[in-house]
Amino acid sequence: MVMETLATSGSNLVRLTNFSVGYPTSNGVVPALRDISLDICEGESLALVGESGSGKSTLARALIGLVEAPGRATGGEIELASLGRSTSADRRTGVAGKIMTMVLQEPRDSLNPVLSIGSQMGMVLARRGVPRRERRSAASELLRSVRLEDASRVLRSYPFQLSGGMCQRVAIAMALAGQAKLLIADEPTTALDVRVQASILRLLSELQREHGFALLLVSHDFGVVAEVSQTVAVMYAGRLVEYGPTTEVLGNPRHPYTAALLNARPTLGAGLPIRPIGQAPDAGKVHDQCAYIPRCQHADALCSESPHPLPDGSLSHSAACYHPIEFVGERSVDAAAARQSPEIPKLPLKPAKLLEVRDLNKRFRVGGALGKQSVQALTDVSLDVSPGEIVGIAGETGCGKSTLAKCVLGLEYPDSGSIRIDGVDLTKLGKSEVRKLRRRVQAVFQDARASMNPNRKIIDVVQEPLRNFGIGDRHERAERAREMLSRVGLSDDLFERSPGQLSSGQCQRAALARALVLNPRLLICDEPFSSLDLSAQAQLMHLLSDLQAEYGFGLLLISHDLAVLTSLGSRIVVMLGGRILEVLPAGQTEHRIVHPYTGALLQSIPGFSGNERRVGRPHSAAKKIELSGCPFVSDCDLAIDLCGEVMPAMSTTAAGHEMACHRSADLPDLQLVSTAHL
Amino acid sequence: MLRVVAGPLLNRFAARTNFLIVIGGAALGLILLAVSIGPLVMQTDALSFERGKELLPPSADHWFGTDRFGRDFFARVLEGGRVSLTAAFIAMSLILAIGITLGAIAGYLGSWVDGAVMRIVDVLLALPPFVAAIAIAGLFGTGLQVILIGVVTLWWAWYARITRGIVLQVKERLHVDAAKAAGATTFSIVFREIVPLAAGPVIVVATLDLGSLILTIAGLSFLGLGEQPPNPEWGTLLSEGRAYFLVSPHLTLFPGLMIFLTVLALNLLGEGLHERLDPYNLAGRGG
Amino acid sequence: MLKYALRRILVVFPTLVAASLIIFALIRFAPGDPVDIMYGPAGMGHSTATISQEARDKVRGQLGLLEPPPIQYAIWLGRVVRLDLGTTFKTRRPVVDELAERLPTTAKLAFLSFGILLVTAIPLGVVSAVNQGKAADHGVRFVALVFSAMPSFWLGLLLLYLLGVQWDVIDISGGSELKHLILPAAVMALGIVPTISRLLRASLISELGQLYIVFARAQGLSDGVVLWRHAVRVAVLPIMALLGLYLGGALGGSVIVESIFSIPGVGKWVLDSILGRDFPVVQAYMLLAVVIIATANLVVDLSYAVLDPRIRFGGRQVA
Repeated sequence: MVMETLATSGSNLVRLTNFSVGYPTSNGVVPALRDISLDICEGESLALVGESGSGKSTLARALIGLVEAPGRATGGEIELASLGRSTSADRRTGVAGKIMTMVLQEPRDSLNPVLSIGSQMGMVLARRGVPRRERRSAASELLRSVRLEDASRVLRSYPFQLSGGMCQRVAIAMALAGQAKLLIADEPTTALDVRVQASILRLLSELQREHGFALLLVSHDFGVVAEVSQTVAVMYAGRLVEYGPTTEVLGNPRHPYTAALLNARPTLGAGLPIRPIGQAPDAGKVHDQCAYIPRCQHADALCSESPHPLPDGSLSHSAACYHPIEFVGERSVDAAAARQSPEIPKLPLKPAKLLEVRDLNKRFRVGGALGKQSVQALTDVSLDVSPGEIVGIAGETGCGKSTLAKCVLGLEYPDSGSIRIDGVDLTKLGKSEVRKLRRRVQAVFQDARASMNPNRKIIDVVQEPLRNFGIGDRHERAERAREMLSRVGLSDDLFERSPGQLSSGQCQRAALARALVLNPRLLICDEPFSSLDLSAQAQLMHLLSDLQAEYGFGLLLISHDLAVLTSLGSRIVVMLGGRILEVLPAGQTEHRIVHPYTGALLQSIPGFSGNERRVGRPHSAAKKIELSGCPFVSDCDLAIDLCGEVMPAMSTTAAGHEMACHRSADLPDLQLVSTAHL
Repeated sequence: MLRVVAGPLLNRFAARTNFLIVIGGAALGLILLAVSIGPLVMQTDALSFERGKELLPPSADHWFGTDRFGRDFFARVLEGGRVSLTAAFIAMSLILAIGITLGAIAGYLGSWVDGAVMRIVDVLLALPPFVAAIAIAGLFGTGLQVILIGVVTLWWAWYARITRGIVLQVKERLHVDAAKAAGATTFSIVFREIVPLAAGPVIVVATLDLGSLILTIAGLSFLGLGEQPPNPEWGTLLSEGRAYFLVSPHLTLFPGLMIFLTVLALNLLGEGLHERLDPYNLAGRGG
Repeated sequence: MLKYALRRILVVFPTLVAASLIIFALIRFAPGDPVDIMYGPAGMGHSTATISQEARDKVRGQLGLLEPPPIQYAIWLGRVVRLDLGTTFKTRRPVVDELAERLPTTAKLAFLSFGILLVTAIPLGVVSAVNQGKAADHGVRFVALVFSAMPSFWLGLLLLYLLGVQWDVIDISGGSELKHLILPAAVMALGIVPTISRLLRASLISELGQLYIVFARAQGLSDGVVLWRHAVRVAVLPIMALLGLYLGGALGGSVIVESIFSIPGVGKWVLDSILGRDFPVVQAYMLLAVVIIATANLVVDLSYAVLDPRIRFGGRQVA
């Protein structure tokens, strides 16, 4: 959904001139933003893109006057067309809520947990001067404008009773209350599932058209940016490095960093992203030169003298680089060619199964003595992994993918069904035998830092599995751990540090080293990339792929991101509501006739558009109703009566392609196309 | 960004933490030294009478003055401290032993064991300690032993709850799952992953609680429910001195001051240890 | 809400029954003959008409002490419910009458000290949290650290000496009027002010760091509204349980100050009775304590339900 017209070119709303923010510490002021010059015009739609630590959120907060203490403006100006000059790291009365307003990343945490939606909206409306007796109807009106039906029920509700998507809609409604001229959306969809994300993005675009406010979208995701924004500003280490119309910046990036970041993005149907070099520095550690030098192939003496200034926010495409990439035509073609096509591991014709899961069922009991409830987490789940194969499990929050992983790891006990690893049924083993089996099955978790004992050094963490199985003496163990840590790309000086002193990417590498130190047959990775920045993610994807080819372990990879799974060339198992709905064969990304649920997931990926965009009603994920039929029935356009009553059986539709759908004969061709410039 | 800012801030905190630990620890050490070897090296006996020297104010001969029987009050305060602190330490050891054991068992085993232990804990915790101690003294008579038994009976419940809470919390932490997945034995999980993380917070709470324990025991003795005269104990001394506090305020000033300083030292130490040993605030204490 | 409240109120009764069982057992197992407990031991007491051995046996029969324990319990409970708690050894007056004379004073003292606690601890905690790391915060924390180490009985005596004797600004004659109660109530509260204020401080600092505060500010809400109607509203939740424990424990805390300041309340009465081995009074005290504690817990639970919807709705997803 690209903007039809470029820049409505309204009058200027906010102008930043050489604006800087720093955090005073005992060692002097640590800069977080340096010399930002940027214009935001009325009705414009601008995106601020960057990785964590780039300063994009600090900039968003500085604009509205909410820089986290003890940060403060250290130079430059923020000029508001309606107010005149003022610098703004301190709170400015009359700006927040009136001239600009903001919605945040975690919608549920953005709302007070113990106050009803009605009273929270009441406070905001009171501030806007709405008389007491009119507040209720005004609030209902606002809720309807963000497409929340049943406003009176929402007003009575508390945040914990609403889904994340609904909370974000409420937050947007509150932001609309002041009729501010600028809405700052700080990663508004990052915490949401992909289908909900799509609906919120669509809502923001629609509201912008209806109300005519300017939208400043802060995001790390180019797909989201392409979806919503006309203009994009790329940030790196506290500076703006590139600015221009979205189509141009994304289609023909001029700064080497922007190009590398775009290439690091996993793309549906393409191979592994191009491996970026190095790691983004903290804004505070960069000296007065181009911060990208250590990672740049074109860097020369000129670059280290002083950073190239970014021409202040004119509409033309510009980059803060002495050696900008020249226009080379269709980058997307170029980049696609540069991507390695996913290597599908060659499997023997009739491979012995490494992991065989059959008819797994797991029910969780929730609630206390009163009102006991149980939730079916897994229903009749069957799945195979062959040696050397990559199997991806995809699905949204609560689909049962993590429970499945825990069962295979022996951390949860299934109610029924079998889990065979090399033919040995895990569910029939005693505690000590399960432990022995763990030598062959290892795991990497989503939050690598939390998965390591905070009191221990990295080298000791990696040795731990060897110790547990009494392998080698102390020297041999340390030697093997060092070897493994080097193999995953960690330098010697990090070995003696504790997990808390490493970056997320480094922690995830160490966790990978720990998992592989025993040379397991099966590796289970539960969302290993989701806490990482784009470049760290691309690097880790390469590492995982290389290690898999080298050691030949079977890989069970859990991810919410279909693009990541296809990039790694995995067979994909799609889950919803504790059931497997579809199994897609590896490497056949052109496969366009898929289960309606998979179709909805694919179409929701920002930056892609199908022939017909159906986003559906994505709130059903929060409902935990017991279903005898298909879990997707309430959101499915093709559903027939039968779907709600009987769960369809898995049937093979093409080689290696299985799905459970009553309407499998009538599915439309999806015709997914990447939005032109991505 | 956070990391850049956090570094120096943490350094400053560490400096403050050390300062608290050093001051609190030194003061506590000094007091412990005084009350443990003081009575041994003192020339005067805490129980010996001296006629004609009743109720003297503090002087070079008698640092804390004398009491109504002419006994050297400094000697009595030191001896009283020995009784008070010994009682508090014994009580705390018993409380820790019972509370940690039951709490850890309840937390680790869960199910009905947990239910049974926690039900008792809930009942005991609902009883305000002072009210319960008074009731116990009312039923079983007065005396330091009765007070100690009463205090231990009630107080272990706090530690059972804290220990259980920590064990449950640590048990839920990802690195315990990760250790399990990496093939760690149950023994190794308990003693290498859980106990080291749980020990810190318990030590912190115990340090701070030792102060409340001293206050409670002294308070009950002050009311005449604990140690009985003529044996000195800080609370008993205060209560004895109370009758004379118009003419000889030093008899109430010094025992109270000693209690105050001891508890203050423990608080400082606990405060310092809290930042040092319980970075995740598992003990759930305001900092 | 109503359903929750009713359910919670109904739970109080089994609790009271269990507590009465424990008290009954304690009295039965306490050293001494139950008849002693009711009527004083043979040959004891100046104002006590000593009961002969036959009379004792007769009482034993009347009291049902020869019956099996469950029936004994039923008889005992019947008397307790009818507020028949026997007579004191000392005055031979019904325990309930004496209690009724003293309870209002102690109640006044308790609520007064509770009020003092609230008006000091909450502002201190808020000031400390809002100025985190600044001089005001350090000052409050330092004072709190000092006062939490201060034995209340010592502080009481010192204040009595300084204010009552040296400067002669307060009336120390002892009594049950408000002017006699302010200083004792303050001393009683002071012991827990540091605990409450530091807990509120920690809780408020954590709330002020939450995203909903940033969001509320971004909507232009004033500092006052953000602090009091958003942050403090959530931050007080964890301290309510402690406040309840304090109210429930006021019966214990009052003993010390009533003793020091010579206030004719329940605390001083029970202390004198313990030292005089006046068991009927001790029994009445325990029963009263149980009722007060149960009530305080009930009030706390109901306030939680009012102030925290997550508890009211049992945290279950409705939407």
